[in-house]
Amino acid sequence: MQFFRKQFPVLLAFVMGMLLFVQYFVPSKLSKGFYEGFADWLIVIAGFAAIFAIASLLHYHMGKIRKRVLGYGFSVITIVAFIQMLVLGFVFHYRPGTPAGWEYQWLFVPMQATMFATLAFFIASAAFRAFRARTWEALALLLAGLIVMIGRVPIGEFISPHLSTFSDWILNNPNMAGYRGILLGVALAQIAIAVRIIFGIERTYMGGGD
Amino acid sequence: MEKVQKPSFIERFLQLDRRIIYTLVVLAVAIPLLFPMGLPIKVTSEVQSVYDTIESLPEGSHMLLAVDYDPASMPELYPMMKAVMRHVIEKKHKLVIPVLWPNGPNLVAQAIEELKVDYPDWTSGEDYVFLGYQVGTAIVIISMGSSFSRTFPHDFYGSTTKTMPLIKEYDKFAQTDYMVMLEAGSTGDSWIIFATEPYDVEVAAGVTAVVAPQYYPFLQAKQINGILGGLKGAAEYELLIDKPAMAVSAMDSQSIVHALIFVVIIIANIFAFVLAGQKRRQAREEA
Amino acid sequence: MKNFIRLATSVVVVLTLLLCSAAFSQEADVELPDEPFAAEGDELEALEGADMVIGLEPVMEEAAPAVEVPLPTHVTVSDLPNDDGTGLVVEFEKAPGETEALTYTVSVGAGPDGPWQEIGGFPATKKWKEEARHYYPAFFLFQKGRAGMSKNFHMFVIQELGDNVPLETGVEYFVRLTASVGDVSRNYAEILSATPEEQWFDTGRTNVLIFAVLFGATILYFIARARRDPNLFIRKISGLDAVDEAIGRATEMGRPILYLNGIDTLAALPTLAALNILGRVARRVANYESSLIVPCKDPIVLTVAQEIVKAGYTDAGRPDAYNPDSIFFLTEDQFSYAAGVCGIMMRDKPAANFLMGYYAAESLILAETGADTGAIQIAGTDAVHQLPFFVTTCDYTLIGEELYAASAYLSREPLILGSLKGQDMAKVFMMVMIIVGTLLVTFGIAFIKDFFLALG
Repeated sequence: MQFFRKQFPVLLAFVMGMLLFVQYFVPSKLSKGFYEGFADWLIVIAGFAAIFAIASLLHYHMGKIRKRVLGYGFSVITIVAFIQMLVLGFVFHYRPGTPAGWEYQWLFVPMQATMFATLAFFIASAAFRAFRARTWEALALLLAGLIVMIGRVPIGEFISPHLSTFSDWILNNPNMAGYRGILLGVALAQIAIAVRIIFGIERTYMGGGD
Repeated sequence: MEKVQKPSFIERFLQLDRRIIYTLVVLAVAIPLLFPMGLPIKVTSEVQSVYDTIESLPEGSHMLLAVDYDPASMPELYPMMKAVMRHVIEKKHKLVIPVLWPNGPNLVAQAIEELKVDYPDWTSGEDYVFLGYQVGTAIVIISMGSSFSRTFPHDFYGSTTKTMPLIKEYDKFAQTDYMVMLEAGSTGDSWIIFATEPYDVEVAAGVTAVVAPQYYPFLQAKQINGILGGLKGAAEYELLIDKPAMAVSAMDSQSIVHALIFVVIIIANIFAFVLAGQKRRQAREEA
Repeated sequence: MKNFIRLATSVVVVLTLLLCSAAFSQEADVELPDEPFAAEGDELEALEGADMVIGLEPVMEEAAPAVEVPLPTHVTVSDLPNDDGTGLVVEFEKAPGETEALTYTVSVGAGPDGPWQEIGGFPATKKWKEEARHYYPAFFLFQKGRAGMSKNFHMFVIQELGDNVPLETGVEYFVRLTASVGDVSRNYAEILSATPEEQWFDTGRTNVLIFAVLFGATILYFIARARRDPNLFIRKISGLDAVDEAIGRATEMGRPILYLNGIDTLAALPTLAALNILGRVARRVANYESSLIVPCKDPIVLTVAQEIVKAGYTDAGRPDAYNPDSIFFLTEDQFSYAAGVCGIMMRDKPAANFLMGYYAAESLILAETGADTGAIQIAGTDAVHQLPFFVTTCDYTLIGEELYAASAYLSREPLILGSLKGQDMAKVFMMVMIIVGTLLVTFGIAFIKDFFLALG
């Protein structure tokens, strides 16, 4: 039993990691078939994982309702909404003109758009609170930010056509240079973590010790 | 009893209740929507090149429109999607639309319904195929390389894709003449890695403003040939196809909100600078 | 006084808005967007006019001379390199006098006399060998037929016989090339044939293999070295030093700790990195006897997170304190997840928020709400475009690769630290390549550039 909890996952990660690595360099039919099969299995596993999710969701919210914890009313709404959307989806499918489609268009769409729109408010308040030129570097960042912000919208073009050109320059040169530097570091770090996982050096993600 | 020093005006201003800022943002959005100012919109080269590519394709070319967003990004990407679809219909290209975000398909269905009012002859299965959603993101993209009809056996409306006239002539990613991907996240990376690069298909990205910087390196590396960035990109495209709509009308609001944030940052910095000066002076005096 | 400030700010901004409106109102009546497009339209009309003159006049109005259809001088058909044995490739140098009006059509037959099935066509301006370099072998600095990589060579790949019938491995196919201008067509004199063959090594990826093996070996070497000499230096990362402080503060205040793994799936490396850090955090939380909340967006991440936290509590000797209900699935939808997490932040008021992993547009919504509740916040992401939001609103931010180094930093385990050292060596190599490559390309020497191009 201990083998299946400790060694087997590491072994599986190693075998699959190496197989997929080799597969990348082999263009044959067998290799292609293996990859397609692997992809199909991923979809199947992802589908089954949804069962865990639903079980966890219901368990968590039922628990909150049972214990009458602060805000348990939201849990009641969650469970009712979950069940009715599931039923409507199964019966009518989510297509325009069906009750489920109506819910999608008139409840889901506006609620999602509202969440995204809150970003505008948060950006304004965060900018006011935290975007300060405390050091020279911060001042440079602040100026670049202001120029890009105003240069990317028509008002910048209206103030001066050079603003948008300068804002493009900032985006395409200093910004891109920094971006690429971080990206290269991240890519190398990702390869390193992949090697650590494939060779079983990093096992924390499996819930094991060091 | 120790006297508590009353905070100065500047200190209180810097602690401004964020609800006041929220109110200002609401005003900055609403006022220009109610009273449009018609600020000039300049078409950028990255948008122009998308338009030019679609314009230059011969009639009946195969185009793929990947829809990877959901209602949250609708204000930015929906006008963009409609403008691109309108252009494709007018140029009589063939269109296949896969969706890789679970809450995206209904947005496409809605756009198709709206466009059918203007183009009643635009037929599913012949002129376009709306494949609907399939789970698996990168896996789906890889699978589309070998066959659309195997990856999506049924379209969004439940019809078998394999027997559709358009799918009979256009069933593999490699047969794509041009692709536009609408992205609210990083699904576009997978399209580039697993599809457009291996199969040498030219692609443009229509993206939300938040993720636009992520796509500029691809543009520089010529891995994509154009970017429609956020609401502004959508507005530019609407102007290019000469059908100003939602995005154009919302541009004034965006400009004013940017101006508001600009002003807010400057005022906050001036006040913070003055306050820091005052504190330094006070510290010197006390010393 | 508060009302006065509200009034004053309102007045300032409304005045700004009014001033802006007044300034722009002069422009408002003018149909501004039309201006650039009118010019475009004119240009288009002019071009169309030109087409009429050049293209149609001689053909339609005079007894036009016979249309010349150029043909390439040397055409080859061969097995498509680096595939699963279902492809052929037609290659030829562009025909002398190729024009935009010229199109090539490729037909396939079972025998040298047909019957011919048209596979596809392409205009003479497309299908360049240069654009399909990934089909061709690359070995270190040398790429087979690099001379053919310029836009002088066409290549056309045949992978099916229409109606999705693939080519069969080991079967000989005959190929006919036709060039046409308008209705006039000419066939290439020779009928060519080739047999698709399956390959077992993608030579186009040789350079990738060399790089992957070299880099992998470097990392493994430094890991092995770390086993012998475990005293490796790692620079200070303030965000990770603050982990204990954050957990300690939450314990003192008697409030929970919120840990987010980002919004990506388990297949994404930032999520794995976040889960690794969760393991370390869980152990410390168990030691401090605080409570931990982990709302998940992905069902598989949920199951893994539960295991990790459980193991963390067990390792800390507190398995009884583990509460499986504190690690739960919230929703799989991005913004609904953000809304749910914000709700938890506002109701449960965690004293410390950890935002690790991959984030997209919801990053600021989460971090700003967290800042509003007064929690100490530590973020870590490789999503570069979200970094500014985290830097602005969080107390500490792990930037890019720091997220991946966190596991090594927190555990101080020599083997993991060794991999960091290997990674640094690779970085030094990349830096040298960038500097040397830039200098060489500046002076017109392109072999390093070619090497990296061959990687793609």
